[in-house]
Amino acid sequence: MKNIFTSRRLVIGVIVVIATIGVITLGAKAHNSQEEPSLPARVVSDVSGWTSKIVNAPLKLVHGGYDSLDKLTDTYQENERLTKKVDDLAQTKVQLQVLQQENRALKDQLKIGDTLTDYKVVNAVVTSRSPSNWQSQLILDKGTNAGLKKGLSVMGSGGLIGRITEVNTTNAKVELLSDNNQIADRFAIRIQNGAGESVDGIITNFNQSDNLIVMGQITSDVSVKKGDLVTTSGLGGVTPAGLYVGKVERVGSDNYGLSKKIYIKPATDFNNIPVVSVAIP
Amino acid sequence: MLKYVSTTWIHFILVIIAVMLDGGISLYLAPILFKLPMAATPLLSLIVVMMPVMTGHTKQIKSYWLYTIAFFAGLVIDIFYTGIIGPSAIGFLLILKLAEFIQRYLDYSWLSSLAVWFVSTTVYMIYDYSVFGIINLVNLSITNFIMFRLFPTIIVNLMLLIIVYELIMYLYNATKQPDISSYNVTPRDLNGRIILDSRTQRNMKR
Repeated sequence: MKNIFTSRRLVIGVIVVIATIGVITLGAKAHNSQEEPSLPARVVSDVSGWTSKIVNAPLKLVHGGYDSLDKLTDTYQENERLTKKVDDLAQTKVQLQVLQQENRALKDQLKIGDTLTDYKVVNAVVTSRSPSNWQSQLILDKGTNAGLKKGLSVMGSGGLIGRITEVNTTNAKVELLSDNNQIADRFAIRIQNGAGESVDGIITNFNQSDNLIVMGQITSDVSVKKGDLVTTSGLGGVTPAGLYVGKVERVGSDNYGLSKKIYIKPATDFNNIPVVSVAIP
Repeated sequence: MLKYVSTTWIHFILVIIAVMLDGGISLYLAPILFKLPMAATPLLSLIVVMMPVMTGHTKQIKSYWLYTIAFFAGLVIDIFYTGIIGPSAIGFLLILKLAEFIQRYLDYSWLSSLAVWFVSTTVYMIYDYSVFGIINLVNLSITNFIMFRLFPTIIVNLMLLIIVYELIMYLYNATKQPDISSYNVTPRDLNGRIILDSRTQRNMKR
């Protein structure tokens, strides 16, 4: 049989492997360190964004149609349920407006500027999703033209979903909390228990088998129970305080039993995010 | 009409559409494809990149164009979807080379295309696993990778291959140009007369 591994081919193979590892390592380093991508990369991303919108328009139409038909079956029950909620919501909204005005007036009196809970919101449509096994990234239809920046927090319909990792002129990438990247999902979060006490920590990783957010680096001994609400704490200054993350599912410990870990059920389904809101502090 | 269009252009357009559709499929079918811990990646772009090799239409597209288009598709995936330049751009080139190498030992039939696609996709997935492992984005053991990533991806892409195979074959066949190199055409001058060599020219040729 003909020997396919000749010495020439082996040398070429080794060179290819070394070059591949080198290029990919440099690519990953550049991706993490760059504040914004290079001009050619931005041009390719923007043009791809427009092409993607055109090519995926029929898919969007079909998906929208199917979704509407699917929801049509339980529209009646949903309508009854929502009608009851509307009255409560109107009352809460009025109360919130009054409290906001009062809060603003008190801040003015005390000469306090913007605090951690003050942020603007930019809404964007999700146009595509990274077809990768190792990254959970969404592509938004807004970029620097709408004031988006790298590192901003992004919310879905229910609550916090991730952070912007790259911004081009007309689109941006959002890394979801379910992503494998151990740097991107570090959010400072806080749990408020029934007694009004709070526990601070950060999101350390995502448990993919149970679909739960893992909160680690907890220093407090305050007890929390299932159902307690989790929000961002605003510590660090990049993420505004008060963004809803989810509810406590269970409390556990790490593999060695040394530190506490709290498992949080995310407020949003990461596989169904058509529209997002970006919080700009 | 299609016979006036170059197969290279058709291939290029199909690859670009496939690259964009990969993102669309991932977005709209996410509840099915990314039901963690199971995840299946649509690799329609890889299927289309390898299609001329699998179906024996490589003579219609010059080899360097085949590789240029593969590299370009990979680069667009890297820039637009992942933001990390390299993995797909290099991966697509290597897999295309591998597909060509395997195809040399096989004939052109649906089953051989399936074999080439299966081996190439599996190798690409292993390459992807290794590459993202190097940059510390993989937190899955090899067993879990095979169970939860490789198998679902193969199944989903097999369905995509079945859907697009005949359509792409039709487009490649429709753009096939007649092979005129086998025709023996006598050169004629502007008045339609056969050009006869002069005695001096004939002697020079000898």
